[in-house]
Amino acid sequence: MIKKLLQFIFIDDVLKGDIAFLEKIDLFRGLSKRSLAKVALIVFKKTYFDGEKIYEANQEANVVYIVKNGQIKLTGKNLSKVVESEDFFGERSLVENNKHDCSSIALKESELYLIYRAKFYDMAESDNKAGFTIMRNLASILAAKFDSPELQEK
Amino acid sequence: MTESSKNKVFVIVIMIFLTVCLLLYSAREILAPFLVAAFITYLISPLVVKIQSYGYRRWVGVTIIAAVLVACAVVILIIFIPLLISEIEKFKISYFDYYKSFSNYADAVRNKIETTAPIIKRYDVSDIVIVKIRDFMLLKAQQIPAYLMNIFSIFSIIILIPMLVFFMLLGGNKGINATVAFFPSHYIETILSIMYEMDSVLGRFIRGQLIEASFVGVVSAIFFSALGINFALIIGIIAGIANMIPYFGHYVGLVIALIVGVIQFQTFATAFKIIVAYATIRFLDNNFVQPLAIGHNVNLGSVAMIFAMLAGGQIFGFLGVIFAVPVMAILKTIFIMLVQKYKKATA
Repeated sequence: MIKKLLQFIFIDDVLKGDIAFLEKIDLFRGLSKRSLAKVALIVFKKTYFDGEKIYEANQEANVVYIVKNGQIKLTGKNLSKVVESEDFFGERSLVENNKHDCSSIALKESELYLIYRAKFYDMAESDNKAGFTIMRNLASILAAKFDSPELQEK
Repeated sequence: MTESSKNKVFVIVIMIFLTVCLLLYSAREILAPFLVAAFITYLISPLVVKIQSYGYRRWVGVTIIAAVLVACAVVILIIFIPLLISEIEKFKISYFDYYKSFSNYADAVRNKIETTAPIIKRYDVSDIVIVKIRDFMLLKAQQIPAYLMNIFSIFSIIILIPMLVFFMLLGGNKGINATVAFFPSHYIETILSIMYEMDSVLGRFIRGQLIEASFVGVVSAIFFSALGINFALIIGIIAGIANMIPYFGHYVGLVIALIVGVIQFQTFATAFKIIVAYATIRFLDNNFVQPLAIGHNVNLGSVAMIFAMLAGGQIFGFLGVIFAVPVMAILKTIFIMLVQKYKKATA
């Protein structure tokens, strides 16, 4: 009872919820709770309305977008994909300073978690282990994308 | 981006910038406690985030830090404030004795110099120099303690600044999150870049400056006390604060220590000891402290830096001199980013 009361007073429920959510994301697989908390603390939250454009192709890319809830449609030259809750997009911006190769639009009201590249680098510098784990996850995610039969055919 | 929307962005950015400048200029009289509070907040906010990363609410981190700071402040108040006040009082009382000693000493030195080099007497060089120094001592130097006390009134130090720091820390990233939520999605990545650059430049600069100023202040006070120079604590505080001013600031502590030391002991050996102490402080600062406080390097040219300092001083006084450099660095960063975006958009 006292423990629950102390937890209620001192423990940040929003942060706890964010940690539980980020834990499910492939990019952050294998991170400790503490490292997930560090990621959660550099996240910017933004709600996009139905039909709102998130970014357009050729626009500067320096943010990775994680879908908390809602649906986002990505449209590019060889791409048409709907991203839903617990998935993410724009992850290439974590490794290179480039432009978006597709455009994205919210198909319904969607809450996104935004991680800005430079902020992520700062976090990775202060927590090398977490930074390495995230980059390893990212490498395997990108490798899987390049290995996909869809891409091989092209 | 169409031509008209590009123009709109530029007009809006320029209007916001001008409004902020105007507001800051009109509120310059009350700006000091806010700037100092922002200074302190920037320094300690990473500690709050560290505590938060253990899963605690933000207020827990802020309260722990506040408790530690209050304990430190109490220790400083108990130990240093009476010492500082007694030094200021001593300075006020013995100021005219110093002035008389200086006059006598200056006359003796002048006679000595004029005997060896009569040409100096012919052009009244020494008279001009002595009159200038006397004027400075009578009009300006006497006001230094009062000026120090006036910059931060007791109300600011004891109540306002800690309160502002507490609320700024408690607010955390709310302002940034509100900005992200407010701006149209199309500009989010640009806004984040600008905010990050501003935060990065300002944060690194402030942390770097505070680390360096504290080091120079404390070590100067210790060294000058060890040499038996009067008002070592006041000289240390002035040296620490002045150290934040690029180029000239480093020498302020040295000059004041030399004036006080030479008048007090009336020997050149003291001057030599002070110069050695100063050289040691600079050596330690350059080789051990500055590498830790790399943030003070803001990539500004010398001319831009001097212009920023003079303009800041003219508009906002002493605090303007200190804050001119990071503000200029931020403006430069934003300007470069906007120009790059404009070039990309028109390419």
